[in-house]
Amino acid sequence: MPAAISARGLGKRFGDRWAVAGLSFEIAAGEVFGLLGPNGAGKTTTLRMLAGMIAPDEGAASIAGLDVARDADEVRARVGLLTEQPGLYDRLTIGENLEFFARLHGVPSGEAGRRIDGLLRRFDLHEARGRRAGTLSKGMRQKVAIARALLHEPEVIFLDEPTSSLDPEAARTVRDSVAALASSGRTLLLCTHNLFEAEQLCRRIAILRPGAGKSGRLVAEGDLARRRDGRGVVIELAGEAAPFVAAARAVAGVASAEAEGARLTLAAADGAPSPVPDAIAALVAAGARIEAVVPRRVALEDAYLAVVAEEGAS
Amino acid sequence: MSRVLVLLRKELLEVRRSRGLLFAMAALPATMLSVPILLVLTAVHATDADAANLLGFYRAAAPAVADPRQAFVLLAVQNCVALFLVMPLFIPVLIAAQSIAGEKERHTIEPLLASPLRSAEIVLGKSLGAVVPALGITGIAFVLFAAAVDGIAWPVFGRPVLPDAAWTFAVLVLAPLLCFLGNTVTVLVSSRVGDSRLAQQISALLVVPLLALVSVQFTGLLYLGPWFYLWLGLGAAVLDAALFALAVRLFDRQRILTRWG
Repeated sequence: MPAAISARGLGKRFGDRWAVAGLSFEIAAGEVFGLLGPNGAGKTTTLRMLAGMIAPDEGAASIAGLDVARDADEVRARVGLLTEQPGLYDRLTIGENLEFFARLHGVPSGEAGRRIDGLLRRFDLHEARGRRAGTLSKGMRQKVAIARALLHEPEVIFLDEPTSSLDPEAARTVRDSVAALASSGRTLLLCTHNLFEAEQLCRRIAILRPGAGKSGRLVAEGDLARRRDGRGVVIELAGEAAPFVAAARAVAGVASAEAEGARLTLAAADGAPSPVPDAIAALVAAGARIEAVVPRRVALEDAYLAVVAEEGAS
Repeated sequence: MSRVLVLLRKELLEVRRSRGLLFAMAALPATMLSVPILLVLTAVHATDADAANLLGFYRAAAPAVADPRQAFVLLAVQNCVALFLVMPLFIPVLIAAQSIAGEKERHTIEPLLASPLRSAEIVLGKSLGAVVPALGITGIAFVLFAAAVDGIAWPVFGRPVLPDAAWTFAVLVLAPLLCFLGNTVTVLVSSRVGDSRLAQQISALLVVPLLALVSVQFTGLLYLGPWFYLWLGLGAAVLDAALFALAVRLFDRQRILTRWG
């Protein structure tokens, strides 16, 4: 079974400048994949190539086995795209906006009405169906745009900065909507520079980074679940932690122990059994009064900044 | 329903709900038709001597009718054909300028380009969205104009003057061709520039040659007879086909998405 989304050495050049170069990754069906990177890293260009809107200048990509350059019309019919700007027709009502796109996708009239009804109820917009899009709040507009991307029940959905320019409340509403989509088993590619959002929604991420000559290089790809379960703990003590660093370091399987105020951060050595029970026993034996033991989670932000810093140094 | 018709329906709905555009579309015929109607009114109320003098001035163009006032009215009606044709040429410019460039400005173009619509379908749907209302307005304007002329000229002729052969050809053949020409040029310009006003300003230059000919005709130096209109129709048909093909060819999703002006 082919990957839902596959990119092999994908690149796009505008004039002399490469917006994206040598991009390769695969996304399995039902996976939620985050494409991260700062502005100008080539996220939107990548998404437009994958959605069959612009042709790559190098490499190839496929969506459900369809080549994005050769079968662009078919690809556009099979994917759903949430653009960065909702792009609704302000003089048309919510219902008319959705009906227009449903018909463009060849959804029969009765079926279109049924789907629109269902989506509007799901996004809590049913009461507003007759309202012109020009009168909607930003959050509502974005929800209508999400509904529009789902009308033809696409196998693959691309989300381009779904919460940028939204206030926190609207952003949360939209994030909840995306989370609901993610749990529905669809393949989602989320382009964002919002790390919190990626951490909440994605299972795997790739980081794009602008370069000097060539932009949009893939500098890291990985499993967020593994990153989240970084092996280690933060132990909070009643008092200064520094006197107990030596006792912690002496425990087998502890790779490092660092003190900062009342917090002692332990990292486990790769491949070793968890040293946490022994470390706690050793600390208690050394006279430490433990208030809390919290699993250490490597925030995506730390990982992202580390990757970007490594790239910058190399 | 084909995707082109779906797009056309949406375009018509947007036009219908755009008050500014509707006002501009209604104002143009009102202005353009007031001149010919005043001209016919003047002709009807002219004395035989004044009419004869004027016909002498327009020797080549003067209709072969014995009654000088009837000839004056017919001359006025005949001279107004080209002026009337400015309308189907210009109204689509007003609408079509909003089509691609307007969608760029309102950020609605990306979802449209991400839809299964092919380039030819977008160009055709957008074109029909401008041509259909423009032809509708042109048709209504002609009916009103013909009724006004026939009413005013009844005392002189005792029968309706319009529609005659020239006006029938103009309304049924030339108007659609020019309408399509005005639209295609604007769609072409609109897909290459990032600003609907700029698209409108550039495309509006299209009416300048026709207006110049109308002006020269009123000086009596030029007579725009049946051959002129025949060639105009032929030229418009050839240009329509060529420019439509060019508009489809030049409709470049990448350029529209990445170069906004």
